Amino acid sequence: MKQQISYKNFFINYAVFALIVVLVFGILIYLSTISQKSWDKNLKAAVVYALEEFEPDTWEIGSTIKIENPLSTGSACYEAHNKKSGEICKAVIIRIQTFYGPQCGIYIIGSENNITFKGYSSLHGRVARQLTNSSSGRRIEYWNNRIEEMLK
Amino acid sequence: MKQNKSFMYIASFLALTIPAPGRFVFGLTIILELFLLEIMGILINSLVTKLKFEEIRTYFVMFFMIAITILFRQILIFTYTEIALTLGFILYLPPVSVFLTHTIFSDLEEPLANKMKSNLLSTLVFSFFILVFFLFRDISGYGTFTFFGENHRIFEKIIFNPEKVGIFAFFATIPGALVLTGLTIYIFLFLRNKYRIISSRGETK
Repeated sequence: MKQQISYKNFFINYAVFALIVVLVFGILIYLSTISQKSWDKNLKAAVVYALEEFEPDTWEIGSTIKIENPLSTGSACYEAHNKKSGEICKAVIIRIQTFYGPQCGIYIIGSENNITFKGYSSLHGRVARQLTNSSSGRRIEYWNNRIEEMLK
Repeated sequence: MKQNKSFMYIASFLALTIPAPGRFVFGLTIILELFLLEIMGILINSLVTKLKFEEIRTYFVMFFMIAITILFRQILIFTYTEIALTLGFILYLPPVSVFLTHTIFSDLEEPLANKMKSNLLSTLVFSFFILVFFLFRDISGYGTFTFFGENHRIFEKIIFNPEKVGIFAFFATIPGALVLTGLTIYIFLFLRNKYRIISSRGETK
């Protein structure tokens, strides 16, 4: 009898645990789904702000382009229109590992798949200068290739 | 035991400070996450005791720690998306840091209020050193001060002339962070030992 009671308690406890786990998973999945909108919107604002700073009155950023790649968790891609040349491009904001830790790099992908590094978002001062001076380095080259692969 | 605690601080300090960019706003984000995890971890641990889930305590608490981290990341995406993008996987380091697992899973028999008080105090001291570390790297290394800004953006104030790259810019780099970590841990342990000597003197008197 005693054993039956303990089995009962055992199953009740685990049922409570399973219920909590399912509930938490549900909340997290729901939040992840609705946060995607903020991800796209806020990163678009960051891209607009940074491009306006690097090349004033040149870029018009459009809607989000979905990235079908695991790298999408650390990046976002948008349609970009060059107001001066009329070229339709893509703007990508992506996390790049640098000598100064991770930074958000901004790239423009031209209509002929030519990739240009524009600069780092929310980075000013002496480190921005240091990083921009070395922007022709291998790290940028590596990310040029990765972005090309990512958007295929 | 004393040595183990020193190793615990060293390992946690390295895990929390080295991978992140040395800017104040990122340090503050990590500290906010650490506090949220510490408070929730203690409360969940006490819930485990109440529900008599002793045999699955570790799985239960760790599951919630990761869930809270994901929740924190989602909140960050809603508010400061750029910080969430920059930090990326670094946000998952605090829940698995030795500091948090040690403080949450030790002294399980202690009453909730006492445990909360003592753990929050040690987290506060630890956080203070982390914040000073990030602030020093931000000001001396980057020559800027960063904070949570308006319209989901990072607030940046340039303090030093960007044209001049002094020797202190080294502290903005990852090797510079490692050198600074060594110095910070030395100062932290030195002060902790001094405090212990002074407090034990008071007890013997």
